[in-house]
Amino acid sequence: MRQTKNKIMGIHLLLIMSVLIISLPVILALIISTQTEAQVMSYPPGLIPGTNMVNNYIAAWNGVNLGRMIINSTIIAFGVIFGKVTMSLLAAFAFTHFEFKGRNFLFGAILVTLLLPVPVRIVALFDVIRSMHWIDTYAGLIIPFWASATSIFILIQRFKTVPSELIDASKMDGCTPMQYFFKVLLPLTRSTIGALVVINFIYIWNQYLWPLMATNSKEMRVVQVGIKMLMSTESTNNWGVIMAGVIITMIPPLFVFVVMQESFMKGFALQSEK
Amino acid sequence: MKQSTFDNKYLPYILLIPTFFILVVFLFYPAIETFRLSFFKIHPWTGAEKFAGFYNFVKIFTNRDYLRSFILSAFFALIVIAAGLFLSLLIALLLNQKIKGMRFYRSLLIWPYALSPAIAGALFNFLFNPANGVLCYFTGFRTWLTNGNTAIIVVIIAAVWKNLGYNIIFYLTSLRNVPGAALESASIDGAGSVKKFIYITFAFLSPTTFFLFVMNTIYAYFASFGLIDVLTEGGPSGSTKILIYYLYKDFFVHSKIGYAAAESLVLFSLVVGVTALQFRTAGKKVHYQ
Amino acid sequence: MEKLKMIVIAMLITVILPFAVFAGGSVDVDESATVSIEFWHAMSGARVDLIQGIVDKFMAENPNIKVDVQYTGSYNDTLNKVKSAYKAGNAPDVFHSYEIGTLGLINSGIISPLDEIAKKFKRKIPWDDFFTPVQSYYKYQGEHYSMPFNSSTPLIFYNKTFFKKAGLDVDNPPKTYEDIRAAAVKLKAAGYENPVTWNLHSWYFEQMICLQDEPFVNDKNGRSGKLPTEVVFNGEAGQNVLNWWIGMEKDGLFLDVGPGWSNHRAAFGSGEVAIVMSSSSDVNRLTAALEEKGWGMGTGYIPRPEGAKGGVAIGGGSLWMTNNHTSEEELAALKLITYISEDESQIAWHKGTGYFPVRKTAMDQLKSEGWFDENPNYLTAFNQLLDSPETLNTSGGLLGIFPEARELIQSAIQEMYTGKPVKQALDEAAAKANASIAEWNEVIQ
Repeated sequence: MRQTKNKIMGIHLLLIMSVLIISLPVILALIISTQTEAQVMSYPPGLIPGTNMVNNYIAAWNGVNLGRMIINSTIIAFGVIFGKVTMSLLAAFAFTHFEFKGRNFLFGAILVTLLLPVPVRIVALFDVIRSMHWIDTYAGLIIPFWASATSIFILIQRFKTVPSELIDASKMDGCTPMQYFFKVLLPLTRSTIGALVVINFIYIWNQYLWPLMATNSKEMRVVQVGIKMLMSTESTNNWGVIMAGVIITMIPPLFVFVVMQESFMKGFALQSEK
Repeated sequence: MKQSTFDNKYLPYILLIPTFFILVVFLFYPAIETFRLSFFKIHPWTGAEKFAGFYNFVKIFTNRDYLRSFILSAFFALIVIAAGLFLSLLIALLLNQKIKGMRFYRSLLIWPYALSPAIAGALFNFLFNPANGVLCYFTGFRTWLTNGNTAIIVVIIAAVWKNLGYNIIFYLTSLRNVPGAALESASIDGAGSVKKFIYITFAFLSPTTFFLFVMNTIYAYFASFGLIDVLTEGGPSGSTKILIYYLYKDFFVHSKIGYAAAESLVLFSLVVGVTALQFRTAGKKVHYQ
Repeated sequence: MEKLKMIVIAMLITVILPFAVFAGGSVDVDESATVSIEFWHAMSGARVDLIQGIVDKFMAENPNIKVDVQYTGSYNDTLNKVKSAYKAGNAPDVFHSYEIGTLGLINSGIISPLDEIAKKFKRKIPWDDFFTPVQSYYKYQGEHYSMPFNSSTPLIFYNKTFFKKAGLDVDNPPKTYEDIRAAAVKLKAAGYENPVTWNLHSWYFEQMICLQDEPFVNDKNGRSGKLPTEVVFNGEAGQNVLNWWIGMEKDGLFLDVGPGWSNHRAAFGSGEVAIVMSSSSDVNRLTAALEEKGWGMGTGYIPRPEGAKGGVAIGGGSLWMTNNHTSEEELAALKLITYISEDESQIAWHKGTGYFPVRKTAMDQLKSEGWFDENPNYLTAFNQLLDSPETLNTSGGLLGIFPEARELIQSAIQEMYTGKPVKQALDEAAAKANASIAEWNEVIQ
């Protein structure tokens, strides 16, 4: 009995240690984000909260127009998610509920896109976006990401689990395919869609390389690039302000993560089953 | 089981039009065009093209810096994968114990997944900066980021840290699927069956491990770009300049567009390799479950 | 016969050319037409507002011109954005580039040379009023291609309080390599563990080659009119610099703080180091940092080997105009960059940033205001620049792949920190640079 108790204590201890180690960078960032430049610069570093929290957060917010960047990132995330989920739903519906010529070929074509992540085609993708005058626009940051093999596969898996009887019954009732899609299939797929939304939100929000290349003006920058701009090499690094900016930038994805944790778990599970 | 289908000649095509429009314009065409550009020399400002045969490929593969980056990327990916999977498995095993507050611990351990590589880069840059980095002070070692041998260690730690949550979730899920009976009998039998326990668990975890191996490879090769750009910019002396950063520099900073296209093709062949592995993984999974 | 033909052609050209220029000069442009132009720059932080302020004043004086000002990230980012915007047909009318982008831009085919545009609109830019080192850097083959804007040189900053404690002469900063080293040894003996630092940046290395009046690249330091084919920074001058620099690091007198513009300032501001090399535009910032701790700060010229006769070259950036715009836009852009170079803007810019004014009249005005009596450290940077002889070497080297050469040099220095011999590392960097130069020269034709 005692041994089990000790064992449980030990597990608690190990878990608490793990939590502390994993949280350490962010805890330190939180502390530094309250310090003045002089407090930050002191060596050895002071590890107590400073007196400059409000100023740092305001400076970070104003310094690189973080508010605008958060709006941009949000618009882009939802723009991508909306298009991606809609198009994937339609495509998955086509693949699961119809027999048609070239079905396997088209499915294969979608499969091939798994081999083409952005970096592999970035050189010419950049030219395409440029010739469309989409550099520095929402379109350039949103539309290229609307097609997703992963989302289509996940939805195909989900659609396949819908009992055939539902289709037969709908046909009997004289439903058109689209009526069936909206009235029967979509409601059944709600939690999968939720999971896709959450997973994609984090994914798009955290994107870096493409927004770095495809935006010019401060009005179009996204938060991730804003972090680098806060640390711009042509100016000084005031770590208090930078960490304040980092904390602000973390909040939206963490909020989504905390509030929608169950959707997350589901999304992850789906990912590995694709 | 064959699913019932609707009969409609045109509708499926109409449903697929949007997806294929995007695929052709933003995936297939750019991919083919990148392939084509890899055989040209291209003017950095005007974009004028001159056919160059295999010039770009010969150049990058005879460039010692590129070869070094190639090896570095493989090394980086391997360590990130090995360390990441090992640590996350340990934590997942802890989390899988039946104790109070498990959900609470789980949330507190996996949240860094929601952060971006760029944020991880900023955090670790602050922790290890040589002027007043907190961890420089506590480790008594100043040159974490200014010495090539240690800078790569910091990048690895940051990369592992950021992706730990992702790996933990998958291990935890698959640990739950290990049949309780098998493990129970192992744990009751006592010391001799630790081996058995390990064997059983690992057998059940191997599909997940394969899956995570693939995902972490992609993460290390591609997603870590933001981390490196914010943390080291590939330095010092190219000691953290992995292939994706090399490509970015050649394309976007030095405008060596032909090289960049050729380097894209190198990355493409890597993705092909990893994807082939992924299919094998899927095969294994069927085998085990 | 061939020769005769050439002479005839040459004569024809000389006769026709002035007419052609004149024809080009008689552009009909409505000066009061409403026009909007774009201006991209690479100055972050508080400098964003400062530039906006200057531009707002310009717009108030020229109500028909609307200027959209954008901070587009670092110099590299800005150039890349200009590059892609140009190909897409929406390049900014005016953009900001670092000095080392000069030869690349001259050969890019996307810019309009400043003197050409000025001539087109019959506007005279008073080049005589610009400080010689400033305008000679941006002059190529007798023509000015861009408008000097933010100008700085490196300086030595030292902590007077610490100097006193170590028994060093507070009012007489070290001037040569040996001086710096000797001061560092004394400071170390007085308990300052790492007395000297600067950030890992090729700029200091380039400047210290200029100080020895040696070139950075061949073909008259890139200014002969031909594209340079080789770098020469691995010669004796370059080795001198690094033997001294790396030697101090090896002896524990120098703290390696890595690249970037933050760490060395932090180390100086926290009192960890007593001597730092940085941009003259840091005067404001570093003075304030030391004042906060109650320490005094002094400035000095950057060090040279005993007896070296060269001087510093200008660093910083200039403003460029892209081609393919309407005459109205060109004129508006010309007015804007001229305005930015004028006294009122430059004085505001200097006071806000520490970059020094590019014109003599602005300088005179600052002097008569008594500005330098209050801020003597600013004068050091001026004097250092004005004390520099004008030679091809101190005009600064021009090289198409200069940004890449910088990266190579910085990589080489990092390798030296970890033990590679100076000469070997420099030679390797030079070989890589030369290979890139050959490729660049071929592809740019």
